[in-house]
Amino acid sequence: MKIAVMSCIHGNYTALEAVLLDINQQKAEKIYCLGDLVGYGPYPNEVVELIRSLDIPTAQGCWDEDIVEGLSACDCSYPSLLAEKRGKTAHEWTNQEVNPEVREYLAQLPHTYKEDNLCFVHGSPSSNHEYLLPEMDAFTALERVLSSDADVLFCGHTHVPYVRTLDSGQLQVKVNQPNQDEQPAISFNTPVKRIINVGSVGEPRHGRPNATYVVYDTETEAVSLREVEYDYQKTCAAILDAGLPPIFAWRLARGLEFAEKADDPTHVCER
Amino acid sequence: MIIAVASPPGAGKTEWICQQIAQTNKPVGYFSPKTDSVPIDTIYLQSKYPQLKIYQTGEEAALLTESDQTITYIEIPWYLDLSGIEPLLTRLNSHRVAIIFPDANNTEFKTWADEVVSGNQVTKLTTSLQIHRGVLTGEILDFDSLATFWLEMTQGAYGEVVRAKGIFDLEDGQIYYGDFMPNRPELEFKPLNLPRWLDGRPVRKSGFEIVGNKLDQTEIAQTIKDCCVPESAISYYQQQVKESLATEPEVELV
Repeated sequence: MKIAVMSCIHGNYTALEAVLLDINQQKAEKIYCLGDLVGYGPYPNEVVELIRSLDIPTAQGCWDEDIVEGLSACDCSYPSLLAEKRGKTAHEWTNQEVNPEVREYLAQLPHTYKEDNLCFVHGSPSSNHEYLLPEMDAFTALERVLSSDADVLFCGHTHVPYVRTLDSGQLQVKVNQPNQDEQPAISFNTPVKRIINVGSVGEPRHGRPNATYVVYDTETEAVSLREVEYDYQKTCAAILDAGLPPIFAWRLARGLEFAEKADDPTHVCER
Repeated sequence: MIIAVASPPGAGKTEWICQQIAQTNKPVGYFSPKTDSVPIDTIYLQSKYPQLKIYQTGEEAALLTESDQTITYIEIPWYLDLSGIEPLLTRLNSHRVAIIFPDANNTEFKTWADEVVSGNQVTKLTTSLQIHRGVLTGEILDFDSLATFWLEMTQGAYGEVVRAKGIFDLEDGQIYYGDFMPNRPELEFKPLNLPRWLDGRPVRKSGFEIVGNKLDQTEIAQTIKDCCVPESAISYYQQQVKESLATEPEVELV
């Protein structure tokens, strides 16, 4: 069965419409969404209503969580003071804009969505604020997939799509204990696991304005990273009309994302 | 000897002066009129040549009296009217060097100069160039924010930029120099060899100068403001840097 997985729509309704059209053309039978429906973009309510009307299984993103619970990320989630300022501006705008039904919908989204041997999260199984970057060390990456109890972990959050295959291997765990010379080692084999980052529909960070998502075949395990052109100028105009900072439109048009990732991408805020 | 240097923006006045200073053993002086509020080139040259004698506005008379022992370069900003500074240059009997791109039709500079030097090609020069100068008085900027702003600015987020340069005090106490021209990606954004400032707000000059078309000055000013470290965090950052520097091993170059 072909499935489509998308993430990080960020209130970009025009991009979402284009991706849904492309999914239809790819003949995907089911669609999953990895959250961040809102934030930065000009159409948070419209995006949520469309996702909801199509009954798309959706995991909660960090922006969705922040709109429900208030900004929970600490300062270190922002890579710079400027990014923090812009992030807070976008949060305040979105927070005023979303209607009660949308807020209620975002509140009930699960952190993790599982189906058979597939797991769907926004950031990582540990936190929807954590970035699973392609260069993350293999042990940590493998731990994240193992913790999800799945063979394929779909994630978003970084806004750059990638597929990472973690080959089968042998892990040896040894626990050091005080006053004990002999530390027993436990060895076990890990099967092949995969991390598939689906990129971003509405806020790309790959240097082009095009939306990205993934088509996955559950039988052949084939992955297709889709890049979809859409009328991004329409979204840019809507950003300006909504009174959002013009720099958001400028960055969207260049595929630069509105903000950047944190210095410590695996940082999990404990606030 | 006094050498007056003029050129269109970005043709390479400071770069040429820098090369001349490097090639001489004589004492060298430097004067850049009408740049006292944001003396970017002055600070840049001072960081490279600490012995450089800097003349301020009002010290023009000293230029003449010391010209026997010193080679002094007068860097004339492109926006300064050459006829306006002519009386001073005549009084100082200065040698005039124009730096222009070989094929450029800069008849004004060619007529004015005693010597024409080949400079950088400057793109898209129009007669309606704007200049936006920002004076920073004690502001300390966050490096990552500044890097984001600099990237956005040089890629046209705040208008078309044909030339930009600036000096910025950062939270680690260093002063950074930024230099941009559209055709020169190798230009620098780097720390200057000047003492770190780690005791509150710096009492030294910093700022920027952006030349271009349709510059959104309000947005530039607001973004720079958003890059500034808040008062409450300055001493925290500076204390961290002090502690970090105190634990660094001393390295002696042999």
